[in-house]
Amino acid sequence: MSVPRVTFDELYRRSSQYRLWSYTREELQAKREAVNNKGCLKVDERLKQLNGEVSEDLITKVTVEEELKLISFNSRRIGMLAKHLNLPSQVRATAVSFLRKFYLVNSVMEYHPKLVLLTCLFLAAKSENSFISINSFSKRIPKTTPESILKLEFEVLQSLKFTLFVHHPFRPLYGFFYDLQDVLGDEFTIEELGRVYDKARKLIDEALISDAVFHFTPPQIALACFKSIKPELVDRYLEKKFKKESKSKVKVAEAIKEEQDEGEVQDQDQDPAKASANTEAKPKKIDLYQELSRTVEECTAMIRTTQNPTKEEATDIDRKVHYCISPSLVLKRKREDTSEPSGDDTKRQRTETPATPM
Amino acid sequence: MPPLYTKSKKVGEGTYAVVYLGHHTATQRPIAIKEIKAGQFKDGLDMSAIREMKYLQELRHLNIIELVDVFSSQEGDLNLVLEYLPADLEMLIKDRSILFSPGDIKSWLLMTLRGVHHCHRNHILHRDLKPNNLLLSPQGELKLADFGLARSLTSPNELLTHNVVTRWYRAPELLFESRHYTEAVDLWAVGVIFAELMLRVPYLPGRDDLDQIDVTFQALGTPTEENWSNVSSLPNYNDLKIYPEPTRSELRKRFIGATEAALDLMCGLLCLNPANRWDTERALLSGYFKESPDPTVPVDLPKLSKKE
Repeated sequence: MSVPRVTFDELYRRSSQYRLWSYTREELQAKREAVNNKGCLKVDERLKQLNGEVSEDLITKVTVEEELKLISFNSRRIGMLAKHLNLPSQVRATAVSFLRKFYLVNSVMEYHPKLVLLTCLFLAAKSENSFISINSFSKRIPKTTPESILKLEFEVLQSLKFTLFVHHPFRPLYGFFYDLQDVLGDEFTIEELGRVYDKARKLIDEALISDAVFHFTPPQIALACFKSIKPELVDRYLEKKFKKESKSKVKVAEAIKEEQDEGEVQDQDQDPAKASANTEAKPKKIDLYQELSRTVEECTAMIRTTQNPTKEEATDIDRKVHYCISPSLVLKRKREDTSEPSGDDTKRQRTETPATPM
Repeated sequence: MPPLYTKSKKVGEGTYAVVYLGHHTATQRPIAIKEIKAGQFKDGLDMSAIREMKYLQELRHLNIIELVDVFSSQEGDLNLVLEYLPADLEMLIKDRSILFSPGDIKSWLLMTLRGVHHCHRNHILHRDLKPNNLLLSPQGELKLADFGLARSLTSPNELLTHNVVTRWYRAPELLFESRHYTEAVDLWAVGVIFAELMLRVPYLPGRDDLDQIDVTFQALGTPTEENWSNVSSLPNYNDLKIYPEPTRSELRKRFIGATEAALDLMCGLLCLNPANRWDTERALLSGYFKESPDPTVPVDLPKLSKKE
C-alpha cells in the first residue's frame, strides 16, 4: 500500500533557509543597495555629530561592489581561522553563511566585518555542536578579548532573524557521489569519481562565498560543484537519470507514477529536482531534464564569479571602511602625518586597525 | 507603542531561562515566554537556548510546540515566545482519578510518533523524550517540547555525546556509552513512554546510572553478541548480569489488556539492538493503529481534574 507523504522538496520549502534567505537576483541586489544606503546615511550621521570637524571629502564611502569584496575577503579569512582552530567544515561553512546573511541586513560601514566574523565563527561553533569556551577561543586569536567577541553576539542573532539552521551542500555532494557510482559505474572508474569528488568538495568552499547560496538549493550547488570539475560527468548523469524515459509517452507516465508511489527516502533526498526552488508543479520527465540542466548550468556559472579581491584591494576598502566607522580618526591620522614625516604612512595602511562598531 | 506581548505570571525557572505566562497583546492569544537573561553566561548565549531556537524555527508541525516569535527586550534579554500549553502527559499519568481507555493511549502515542516522525524526517534527534516533555493543548493535542538537547545528524562519522535523555528513558546504546547512535534513541524513549501509559507507573525507574542498566535488562533481557553484533565492544559493556529476554506470556502478564498488536509495537520500539528497532514509519504503519478501537479524537481525551 502506498502512503502519501511529504516530499523532501516540500520539507525544504518549510526551512528558514528557503523561507527567509532565498531570493531572486533582483531581490538580492535591492537588499544590498538598501543596506549600502543605510550605511551611507549612518556615515553622514556620524559626520554630523562631529559638527563639521571632519570634512566630508576626507571620508570615502564604499559602494555595493566594494562591500561585497570586503565581505568575500573576510569570508575567506573565516576559512583560515577555522583551520587554525581545528574546527570542522560544517562550522566553517555555517560561520560564512552567518557573516554573509549579516551583511544582507547591515552595511560594512555600520559593523566592520573583521569583528563580526569572529562572533559568527564563535556562534557557528556553538550552533554546530563544536563548542569552544570563549576564553580559549579568544586566547587563540590575537588582538581579541572575550568581550569584543561576545558583544556582537546578540546583534548577529538578531540580524539572522534568530534562524540558525543552515543546509549545506556537503551532504548532497556525498549522496551524489554514491549515486554517480551507481548510475555511471560502467563509464567512469571509482578512482576517477573519487578524485572528482575530492576536488568538488574543496570547491564547495568557493560556492559558499558565491551568491549561489541565495538562489539555489544545496543539491543544485552540489551538482554544480561536480560540473565545474568535470562537466561531462554531470551531463551524462542527468541524461541517464532524467532523459531515458523520453522515448515513449506511456513510459513517461509510468515513471512519474513510480516516483510518486515509491517515495524512497534516500533517493528523494538526493534528487535535486525535488528540492528545486523553481519547479512548482510536477513537470514531465523530459522537461525536468531540461530544467535541471539549465539550473545546474546557471549555478555553475555563478560559482565561477565568486569575488576574490587581492590583499591590496581588500586593505584599501578596509581603510575606507575604517574611517567611515570612526571618522574622527582621520583627524588623528592627519595630525600624526604632519608630525611624523614619510615612511610610516604605508605601514599604517597595512596595519589592521581594530574598528569599533557604531 | 504598547508591547507586542505582556508577561503576567512567572511559572517556572529552568536551567537557562525563566518562563512566564502572557498574552499576545493584539489577539489576546495566551502564550508562554521563555526569557533568557543576557550576559548571565560566561560563553554568551547558552547552548540549550541555541538548540531550542535553532530547531523550533525549522520544525513546524501540529505535534511540535510552536515557536511563535523571538524578540529581544531593551535590556538585551532574549525571549522565545511559545504557544501556551497548560498540561503535560506526566501530570495526566500521575492523576490517579483519571482512567485511560485503550483509545486514549493510542491517541497520545500516535501524536507522539507523528511529532517524532517530523523531527526525524528533518534529520533532527530530540534526545530528551519523556512524559514531562510531551505537552498538551487545551484542545487535547499533544506536542513535543523542550528541544534544548536536540541536534541534527550531519555526517555518520561524527561523535555524539552519550550523556543525553533523562535516565529512565535512555536506550541501551546510550547506557553502553556509544558515541555513534541514531534516531533509534528517540524510539526507545517512545517505547518506554508507551509502557508507562499502560502501566501508569514508570516502566524502567533506575535509581542511578548503574541501576538503570540492571533495571532495563532485567525487564527486557541483556543484549548479547547473538542479538546485537559488536555490542560487547561498546565502552560500558562490562560486568553485566545476563538476564533472559522476557517471554511473550510474561509480557502479557505484565501488560494486562494490551492487544497482541500493541505488544508487537512496544517490543519493536523496545528492541535492544538499535539497528533492528522500529523507526517512526514502521511504528506509524503498525497493526496497532489499524485495529480497533480508533484513537480517541484529541478534544475527547481525558483532561486534568480541576484542583484548587
